[in-house]
Amino acid sequence: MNDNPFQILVDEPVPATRLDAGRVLHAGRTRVRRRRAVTTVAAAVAVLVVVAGGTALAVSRDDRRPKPAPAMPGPSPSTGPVTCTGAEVTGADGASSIAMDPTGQWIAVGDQTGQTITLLKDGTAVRTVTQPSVIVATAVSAAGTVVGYQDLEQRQRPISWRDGHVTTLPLPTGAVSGQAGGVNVGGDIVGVVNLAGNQRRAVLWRFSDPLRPVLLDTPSGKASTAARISDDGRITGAIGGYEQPYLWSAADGHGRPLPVPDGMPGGVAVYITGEWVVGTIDFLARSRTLSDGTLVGTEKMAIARWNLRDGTVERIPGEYVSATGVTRDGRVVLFSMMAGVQLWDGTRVGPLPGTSRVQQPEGLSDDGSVLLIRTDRGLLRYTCKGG
Amino acid sequence: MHLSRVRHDADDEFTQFVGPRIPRLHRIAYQLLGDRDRADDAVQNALTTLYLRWKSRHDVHNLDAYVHTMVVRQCLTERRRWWSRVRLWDATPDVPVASGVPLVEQRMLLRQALRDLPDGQRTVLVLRFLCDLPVHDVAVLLGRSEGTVKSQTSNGLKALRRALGDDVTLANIPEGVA
Repeated sequence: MNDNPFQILVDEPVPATRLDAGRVLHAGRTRVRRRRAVTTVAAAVAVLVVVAGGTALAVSRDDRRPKPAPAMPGPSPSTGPVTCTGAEVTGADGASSIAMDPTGQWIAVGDQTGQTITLLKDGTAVRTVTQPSVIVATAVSAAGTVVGYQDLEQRQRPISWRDGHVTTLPLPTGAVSGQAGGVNVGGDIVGVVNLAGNQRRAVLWRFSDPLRPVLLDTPSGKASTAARISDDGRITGAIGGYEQPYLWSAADGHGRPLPVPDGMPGGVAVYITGEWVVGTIDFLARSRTLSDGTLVGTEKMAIARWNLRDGTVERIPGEYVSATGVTRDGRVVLFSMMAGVQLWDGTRVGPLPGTSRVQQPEGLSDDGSVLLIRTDRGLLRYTCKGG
Repeated sequence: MHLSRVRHDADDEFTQFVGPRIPRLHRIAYQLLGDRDRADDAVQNALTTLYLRWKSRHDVHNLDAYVHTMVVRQCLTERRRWWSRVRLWDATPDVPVASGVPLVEQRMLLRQALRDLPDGQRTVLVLRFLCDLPVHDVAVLLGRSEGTVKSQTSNGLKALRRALGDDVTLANIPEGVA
């Protein structure tokens, strides 16, 4: 008799791999060539003392509110082709977490152990934190505040890391775990918390009152998820198990559903820049409800872009593993396993010049001038012109 | 012997080694990540690292176990990065489309129950029973004691049985293993 309790999963047929030995060999040879070409410069990093616990937030005042970075130049008036050149981000090989701020200046990188995060500014390490358990960076603000979560006593707890201090964000009453997923330049943080019974709820930690996290308005009996927050306080996310893309206001915690194209219900709004939002749609057709009420997916997601100015939504042609962000002028960077890094300019999708099929986008600046890409040998920070 | 010839011989040997193993490594990665593309990604990253270390392969006592561990480590790293890359579909791993076959439904329920476990218990159960790793290897991979791995196995299985009720029956594992 077989004594593996998961035998039904062991016996389960899995989708065929697209890898073959030739592709792996090619990737290996490419990595060897690039390694030879790269001169690594060791970066000096400062190890700072970590202060955990919500009390550190109690002294927060508005005069300590993070100051925004100097305004970045607006989108280039050029209509020529986009050209991108990449520079290696040192020490990011095998990164366990990666996040970039909307200006492209700040990058947070988790090391291979998952216990150390390094914050870089303009490619230079400025700060490092090491924790006894796994710590994950999910977002960085234009003021250099990192948010994410940390494993504590087998539960995930939301954290922020600013000015050298890691702070565990307080959970709302009834919540047992959570993750911070977005932060704006003013230091307002959004994420999700898990209430007893494993129900997810969207949550906001206002910079002005961080000890009192706010559960964002959610229709009765539903779950919710908050993904990102814009500098003017608009929060993206979804209701239920991605049943409805949603947009909240940080000012009052109220929200409203975002429209979806006819016949494509469900999805989640994620990235927000200016009047543009990007996320997934058609979720319900690509998922099904199990007998216990759980929603599970069956296919890749369709990606959509919302225009908040005129209230419209449009599906981006094709299917993708992920979208990485949206620029102030509405361009979207996408990732397709087969086609690699793609750029949608509002009318057509095409490969991003200078990138290759095996590279994956990890971050996009608001003005489209900086693109962060993970490759098989590490992390590249691309600066792009034109478009 | 000319250097380029040495390189070609090593490349041939590398290709012959990894070729037949890719499907099994992909299966392990898929069990851990729940998605074909991410599994391919993890296997490719691990094997690319192996390529870089290929000239030291003779120093490794059990190359198969070594590669196996590399892929598992890569998958654990991938899982920590879910928010930055995967959240657009984090609730939607590739799973078989329901076909009305009870076994398919049971697999879905078991996968969902696994996802609902605390991260530590879930990781230990997947590594032990889906990746077929012994307690010692799981303890080394996760940086925990063997006692902790065993207690997380036991607690994880209890929680799964509670969650699944009569919908799915999990086989008992031998005394002392958990």
